Amino acid sequence: MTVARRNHEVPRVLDQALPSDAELVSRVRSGERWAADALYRRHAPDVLRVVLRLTANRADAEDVLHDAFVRALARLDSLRDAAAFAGWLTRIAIQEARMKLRRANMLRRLGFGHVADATLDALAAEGIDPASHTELARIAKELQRFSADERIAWVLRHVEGRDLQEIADLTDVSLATAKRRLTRASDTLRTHLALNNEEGVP
Amino acid sequence: MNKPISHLLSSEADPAAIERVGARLRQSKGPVTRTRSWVAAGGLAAAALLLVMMLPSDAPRERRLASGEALLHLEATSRDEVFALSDGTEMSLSQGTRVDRIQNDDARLVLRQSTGRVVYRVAPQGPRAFIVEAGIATVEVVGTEFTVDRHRADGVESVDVEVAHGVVVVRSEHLEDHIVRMEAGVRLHVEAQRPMENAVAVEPAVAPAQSHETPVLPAIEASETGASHRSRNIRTGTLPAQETSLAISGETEVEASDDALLSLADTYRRDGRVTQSRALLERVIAEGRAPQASLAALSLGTLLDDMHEGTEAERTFERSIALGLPSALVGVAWSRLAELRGQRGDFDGARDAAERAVQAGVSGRERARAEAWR
Repeated sequence: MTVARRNHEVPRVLDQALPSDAELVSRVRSGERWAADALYRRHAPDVLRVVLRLTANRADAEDVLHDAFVRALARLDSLRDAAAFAGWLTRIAIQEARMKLRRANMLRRLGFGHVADATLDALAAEGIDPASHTELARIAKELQRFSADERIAWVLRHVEGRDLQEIADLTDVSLATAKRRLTRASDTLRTHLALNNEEGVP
Repeated sequence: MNKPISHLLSSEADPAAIERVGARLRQSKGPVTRTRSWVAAGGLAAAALLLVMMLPSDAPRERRLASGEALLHLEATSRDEVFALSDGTEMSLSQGTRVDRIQNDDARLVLRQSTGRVVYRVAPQGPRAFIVEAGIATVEVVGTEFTVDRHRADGVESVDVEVAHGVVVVRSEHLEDHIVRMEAGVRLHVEAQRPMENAVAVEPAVAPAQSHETPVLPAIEASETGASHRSRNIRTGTLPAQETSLAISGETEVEASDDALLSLADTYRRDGRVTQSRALLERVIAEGRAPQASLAALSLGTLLDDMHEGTEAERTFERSIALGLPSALVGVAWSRLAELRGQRGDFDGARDAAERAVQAGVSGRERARAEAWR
């Protein structure tokens, strides 16, 4: 059987053989540690991919992934719909990423170069054309100016392809706030990219 | 940009990273220490810097000209010109005046007035910090309408500032105590070559305007009687220097100014204007208020390190710790100290500093820096 792999998902043939998220959550709640490991194996790749794009720093992304799972497993009793584990976990991870971003922004302002070793251009797919690569680099540079909230909104929309309602849900804000953050981030990015063009900045 | 750009990015998650985190999780008793320390120190640290950097949730991020064009520079070449910004702020430039944008973002609009006379009418909903750099004087706007006239006569540069509405703070090395807070109806003249004690000539303007719709800092409103008294005394120059310094430095106002100075120092540093950045940081350190003074010392230590002034950098990092650096940043200072001590051959001192850095839960590159000297 040929099974398409996407984003490190477990091949579907195996997925069918595994318990659902709801069942795994139930088993974790009843103290079966293997179920927590199974949840991690299933969701860690997607969470890591998102937080890496948010934080642009590999060490920070690993910390976020770690802390998100620790907090999720510690708060599992508060999860009402066990089948919604993936979205709930992603929301926790985004909260953790937000703290990392704020810390990174502050360190940068104090003059400590925070290593951005996972910028969008560094995460580019193999074989993309040089123009796209350059554009990713320019966007990545501008994203470093953003506040944590604006960066998160922009990345969720324009990199992850989430819609506004999802962004609002994932960041735990109203739809209006999500829209405002996204608009502001998009306007700023557009302006800065245009300005850099005018000023001849690569 | 309408389509997501995910197709340009690798969708592969690093299997080694997932394994590493998985192993940590199996041994973990909780979130990583450094994250906890950041959470604990978050309020303090954020209060120090984010106070002026965070955007009010519904304020626009960047000011543009009302015409929609980007705000880069303004110039009135052949006649007087009025420029309006997207937030309603107006700037009336006299002929021959030029204003350049230095910074324009969520927290600050910093302009450099290279010459000439400008009447600024700052919209109440404008950026939190509206700063005009006019050579020998810096005008920080708290209120709404004021005039800055920068000119040169007989080789002497001078700046006149006149406030029509609200309050502005003027900083200059040519001012006694380097700072004056001006209220509506007050005019200030600053000259580059006058002796320090005679440099300030503050006097009531001819026709003080009515102050209406003027956003004034709460501390200023709360001390109206005192402020009037102080203002009167500043105008007549009857307060002794020390008292004047206190009088023009309401506590809340100065705390906000420390943050503004830190932000401006950051801007200067990123622009490569290290001398200006250093001067501002030293000013915040000298004020000694926590936690800004410690943060300024930490930032200055980095700046000095970058300038290869190792001994001074070391002393400054030590001072940042002594000034009560937030716990989340103590490890960073110790890791820098470890490296500086090691570089000058004090290996015991370096080891001790490295150990303290690790104990403080330093992470990432700073952790690696410390580990190199343990």
